[in-house]
Amino acid sequence: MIKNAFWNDGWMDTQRRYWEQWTEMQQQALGIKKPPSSPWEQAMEHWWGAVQGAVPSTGQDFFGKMLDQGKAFFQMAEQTMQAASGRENVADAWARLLAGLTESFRQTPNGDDAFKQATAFWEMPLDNWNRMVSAISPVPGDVLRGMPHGGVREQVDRMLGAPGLGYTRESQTQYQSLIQAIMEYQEALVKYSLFFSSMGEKSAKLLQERVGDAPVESARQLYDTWVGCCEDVYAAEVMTDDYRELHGRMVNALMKLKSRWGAIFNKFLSAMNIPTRDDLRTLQERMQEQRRGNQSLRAEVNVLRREFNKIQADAAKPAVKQTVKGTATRKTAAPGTKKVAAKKR
Amino acid sequence: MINFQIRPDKLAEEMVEYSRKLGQGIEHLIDVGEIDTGVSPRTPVYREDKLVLYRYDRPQGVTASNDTPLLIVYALVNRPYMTDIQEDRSTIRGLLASGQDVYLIDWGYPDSSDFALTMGDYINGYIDRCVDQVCEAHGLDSINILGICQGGTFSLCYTALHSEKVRNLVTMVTPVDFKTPNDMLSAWVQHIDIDMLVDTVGNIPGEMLNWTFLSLKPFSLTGQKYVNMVDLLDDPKKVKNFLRMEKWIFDSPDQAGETFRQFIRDFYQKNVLIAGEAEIGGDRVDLGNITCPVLNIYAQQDHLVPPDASTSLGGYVGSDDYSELAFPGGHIGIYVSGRAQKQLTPAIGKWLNAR
Repeated sequence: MIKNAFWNDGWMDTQRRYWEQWTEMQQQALGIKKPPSSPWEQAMEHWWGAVQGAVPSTGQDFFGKMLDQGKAFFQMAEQTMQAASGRENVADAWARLLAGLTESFRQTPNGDDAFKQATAFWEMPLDNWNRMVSAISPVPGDVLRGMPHGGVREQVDRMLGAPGLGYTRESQTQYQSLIQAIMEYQEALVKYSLFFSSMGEKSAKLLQERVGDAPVESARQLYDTWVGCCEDVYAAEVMTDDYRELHGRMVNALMKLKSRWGAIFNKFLSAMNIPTRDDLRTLQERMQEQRRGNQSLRAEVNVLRREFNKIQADAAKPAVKQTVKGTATRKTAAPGTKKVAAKKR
Repeated sequence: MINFQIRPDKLAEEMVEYSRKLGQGIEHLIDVGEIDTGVSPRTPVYREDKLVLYRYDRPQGVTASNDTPLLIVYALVNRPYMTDIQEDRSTIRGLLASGQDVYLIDWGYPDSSDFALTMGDYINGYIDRCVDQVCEAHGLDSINILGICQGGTFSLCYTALHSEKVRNLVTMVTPVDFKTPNDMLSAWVQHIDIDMLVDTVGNIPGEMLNWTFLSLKPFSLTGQKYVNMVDLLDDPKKVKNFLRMEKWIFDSPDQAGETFRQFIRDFYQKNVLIAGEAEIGGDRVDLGNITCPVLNIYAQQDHLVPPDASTSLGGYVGSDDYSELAFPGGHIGIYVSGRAQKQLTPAIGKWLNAR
């Protein structure tokens, strides 16, 4: 039985011990501000690291996601408990937590604070974007996200505005254009991130309203309520004109950046006498046009063939009939028909 | 008053239970084996480029109720095995059981050599030649068509342009009006420079489509569903079913660049289909030319194609025999839910057999 290889009591005991200890601390209201880094999370990661090699590739991503989400919702509950520890009133503590959560969304998207896990939840749409960008680019999707862009932009714009000179003028222009595209994409990405931060703030407020309606009795319930709040806020916000524009701007900025890279690569390829993407595009279009022509001609040939066969069949019918009738002139028609048929073969 | 009642001991219990399920669930994951999809026996009857036209075998004991074969035109997005994903969740099985002779176009996976394929090439080319193949095989001048999602839009264009070859048309979760108020996909593409997108990336990568679809409900689709799945890990069959769906969701073929450009620019951004301004291969598409019987099926909780995006069809087709069928479910549930197996496919079969 391989069960023990992946699941052993020792690991469970470690978790239990941690939670017993933690529970005790809570009950004694020690008022700890920050709990130790979660052994549950560490144990999970350690265990997953040990067993994931044995999991088929089809299941690795799937299982990793379940693990990540488990961490997300327990950390949220843990932070909630932590916020409530040692307080005279759980409701006050909860209100303080939500206020803190709301405040944390007002900070930078990468802010480091006690509510990071909950705010990180709002990174999911951005994480999806980064994954997609990584999949279609030679560089990681978040490569530009952490780079400074605020005050630098104006100076760089000035520098990039200077015209290229001399023999390498064209090349300079291409690189200037590339750097401008990088700056634009970075700016679009930051604005996009900030928009999500504002959504996070709204969802925290909504959570506050919703937990006021019904008692929260489990981490799962808290997590599900939080997901529901995030999803509802998200659904409303992404239909606004502001978001439509932001979304379009970010996709366009990424494409502009990629096309500038492409132009520079094309130049290298041309210099080495290797076909560029533009060359291939021309060939693809010409080839498809030719295929369309071939298909069209083939269809016409088929129509003509069917018509011809029909005419041939029609011609054959009276000939047979008339042969039976025995008229001399019509008898001569039959060999003619055969001749055409023979020709066809 | 905020009613926060998570007790530390309960929280600890919950975590241990979650961990236990994860740990034991991995056993089932290791034993899961190959994730098979597309379960009904079928025979390829025509191939062209990457396209394969399949004919499904009639199940034993089922007699033909309809002399007119049914051709399923699936979307270019994702793979058509969704219609036959597992034995107890198969639209195709349901249609076969209702006595239909079922054909399906599998578009395959376009690569860069397919970049220049236009909507005209798909509709007047591939679909038309598949229809001809089926007609010829059965000695008929016209057949029944079932178009799904984007494949439904293609089927509408096809029927408008080749009305003599379509006897009955069924559309499922098909966008017709691309600018209805709740259409999230439409809202997002309005400001995208589609020419720059296609000119830059060529064929549209499947990853980009995945990102778009997951972004419709990012917290549920990339987070919560995996937490919910932990509760099902005890059941190997449910694990396999879940992984089957995961496989389908992320099995996204790239989109031929020129077709994508035309579909997004003309249909989503300009909404040409209902304006009577769509042009396919140089011919104008007039939905009024669709005079054959039409059954339009939509999903009431569809987050990809909102119901009103589909139901607007009724105002544009020229058919005297137009009916709608509302399915209480979502865009995917319409193929795989238990209710769909019990109600939807028999209803389609009945509608076709009556015509």
